[in-house]
Amino acid sequence: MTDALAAPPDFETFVLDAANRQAAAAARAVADASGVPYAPLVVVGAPGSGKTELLQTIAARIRAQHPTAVVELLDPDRLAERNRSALLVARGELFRAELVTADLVMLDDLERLARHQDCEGLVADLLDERRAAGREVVVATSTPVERLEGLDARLLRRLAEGTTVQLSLPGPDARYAILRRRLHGVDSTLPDEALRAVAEAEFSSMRDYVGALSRLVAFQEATALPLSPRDALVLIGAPVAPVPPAELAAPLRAAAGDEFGEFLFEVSASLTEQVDRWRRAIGEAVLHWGGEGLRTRRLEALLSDEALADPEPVLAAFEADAREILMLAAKAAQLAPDLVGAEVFRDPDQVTAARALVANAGSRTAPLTAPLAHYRWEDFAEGPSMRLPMMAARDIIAEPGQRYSPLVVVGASGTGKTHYLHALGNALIGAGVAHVACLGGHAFVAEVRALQDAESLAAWRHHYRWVGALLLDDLHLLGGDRTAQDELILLIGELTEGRRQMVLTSTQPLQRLEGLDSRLLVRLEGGLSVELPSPDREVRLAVIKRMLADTTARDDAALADYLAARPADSVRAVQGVVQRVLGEAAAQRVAPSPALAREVLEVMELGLSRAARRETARSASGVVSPGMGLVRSPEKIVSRWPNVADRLVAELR
Amino acid sequence: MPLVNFTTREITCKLVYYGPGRCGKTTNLLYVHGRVPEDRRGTMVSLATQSDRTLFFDFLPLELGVISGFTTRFQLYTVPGQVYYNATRRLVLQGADGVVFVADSQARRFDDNLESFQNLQENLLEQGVDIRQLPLVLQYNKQDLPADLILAPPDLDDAFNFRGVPSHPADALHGAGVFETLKTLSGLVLSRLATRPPAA
Repeated sequence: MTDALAAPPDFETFVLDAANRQAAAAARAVADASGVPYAPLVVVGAPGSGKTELLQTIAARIRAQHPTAVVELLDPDRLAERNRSALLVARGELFRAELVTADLVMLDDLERLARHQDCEGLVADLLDERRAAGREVVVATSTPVERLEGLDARLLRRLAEGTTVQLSLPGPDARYAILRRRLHGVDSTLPDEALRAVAEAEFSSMRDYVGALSRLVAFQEATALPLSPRDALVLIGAPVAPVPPAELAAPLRAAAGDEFGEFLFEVSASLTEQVDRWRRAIGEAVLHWGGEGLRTRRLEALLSDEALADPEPVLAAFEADAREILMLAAKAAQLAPDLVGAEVFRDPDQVTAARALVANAGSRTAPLTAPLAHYRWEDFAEGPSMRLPMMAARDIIAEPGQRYSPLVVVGASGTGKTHYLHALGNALIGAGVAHVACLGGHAFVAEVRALQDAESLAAWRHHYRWVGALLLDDLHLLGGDRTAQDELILLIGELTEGRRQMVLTSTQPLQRLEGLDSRLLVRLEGGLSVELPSPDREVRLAVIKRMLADTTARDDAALADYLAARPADSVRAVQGVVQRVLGEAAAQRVAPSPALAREVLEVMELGLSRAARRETARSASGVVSPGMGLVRSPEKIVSRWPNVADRLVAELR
Repeated sequence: MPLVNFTTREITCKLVYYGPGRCGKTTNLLYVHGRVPEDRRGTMVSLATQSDRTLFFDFLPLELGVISGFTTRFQLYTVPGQVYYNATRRLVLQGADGVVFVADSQARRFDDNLESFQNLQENLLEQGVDIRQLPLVLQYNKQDLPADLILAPPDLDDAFNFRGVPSHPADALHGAGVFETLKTLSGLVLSRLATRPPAA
């Protein structure tokens, strides 16, 4: 807010009064370069009288009129630093030349040059050279030139040859205008009377007035309380004339001139001062704790006339609560990052709730069953048949808990449900969801069954109540276990209310799940149910390519195509096929190839099936086809072919 | 500390006039009583003997009205000055928010003043009150008497005011210094209302 009060300097809005008129006119002449160089122009004014702002206004005007103009506005510290830096890289002369040729050089806080004696000669030379070149220098100092101490005599002579203008503290009207201008553009409800009271208060520098204004604006922003001029003065620590209360006014007037009247007036003044001191202390506390981001309603109530409480214990109690709230907030941030910024940690009136929250957060620190890290979302093979589950997953990762919660993923064994679930969990963690719990139905049932008493049950519930996402594999395993289902129903309710993500997997569609409570099914049906189908060719190909990636057959497209063309009802089956080929290749110490794959998957299977078939054939009257148990034409039964050569060729194939 | 009741928004201050017998404590209260408008003062209770010596104590309640939202009351007490009423003095001194020590300026009463001042310190100490922490004002009464009979305020300051507390010369009979003393003590007492440092 204080920054917002710092309006850009501008001569058009520069408030003039007798105290700064001459200085402003000279400064404007320098900015417009319309006058004879003052060589140099020396602006003298007490700290906080506006010297720096005047220099900034000159610079801003020149830059507005001549965007390419070079204006150097330095203070002695900055000048010394730049000079030393330039000397270090043997560019001292270049730096000096830059200062000599700049369109305008302004040196603020000249008195501080005494600390940098190595620069005094530079400044004296600069004055000489710029004067010779008809270029202006403006210096500002809080000490008149004749009283400057510790500076080089030549420099002092050059300064004394220039033109000195004074800047004094503006009068109340100008101060009011300046403060009014500072407020321009700031969304403040500060009453005009309060602003006027501030302008009329007694401070030693304009900086103090601006500081007081910032304080009031901050107070207004923090409390939105109406500020009377008297309140404003109390808050900024300005002296306040005792005002006898209305009830006393008449008697005081009647008693004016008598001893009791005077006594009464002094007592009123003393008491009012003490009460104001309380109000000031409370106001400061409101600002302080408001600045810490805490609610200060309790203190604001004290400031209102209706407050019927001793401010001292209330203030002490508030400060104790505020400190505890901050401590609890820090603790909560360590225990549960998702609690950072929670409203309860901003309100000292809610210490009890904050304590409970931190205690609860403590119970959340027990480790959750996290998703297995090796299931990565990017490894999940995607095909046309997976469009719906993949879309649901992407939406969930983008907006956890906002859409499709609970998500029920249905798929036969080996279709990738577990991979999907864990990979989604890891992606949610990557998306910033804290505390992702991922466990199987068996584990869930076992955990619930292990709860011995109400205390452990409460702790367990608390443990899961705060998860950022719950991923439950094999929902069907809860069938028949009423206790586990009851807990899951409660948990779904909690997590749904908290808009946290739930994903569950099942081998059966919800309608065909047996042994599940209808209340649970209703809650699950409230979300989205998607099916993970048998892997299509693209999925199979992706799985195969990933498995071959680390082998010598990584670039063997024919092998991958051959393997992907084989029918498989699950990803696990595809993986099994590839493993068999790779295993055989390793056993034979050859590279995996389509021929080897064909041999492994067709010829060897054929041999195995034939042996099995022989057994079956002996016991059956008909002919059995390989693997399917169906009767086939006798011509297809190689072992019965009459020609040995044909039989051998067929075997070798 | 002054009694501040924030529920009823009332402030009550108990001020005690202490000093040797016949130094003018009751005269102070009588003068105040005479200057306070009737609607602002309660009945002055004065338990005195036939010879006008305070037997028990004087009590003058002052209603100062509502100041800064607080109904403000001052209760002025005197203690019996005679040495043998020490138990009463202790009783009156209990819970005092401030003390005016009225010294008799007559040179011949110097020892009585000294004895009473020491008695004040002892009685406060017995109640666990450090006289250095209690608002205290010295009043040098009877300064209207001939100069050869009395000690000048600087001399009395040298003797009694080694702690540098506020002191006032007074002529309670005619009112000089009475309200000045009361104002000074009131200011000291009220300044203790908000001794808590502002929040950091």
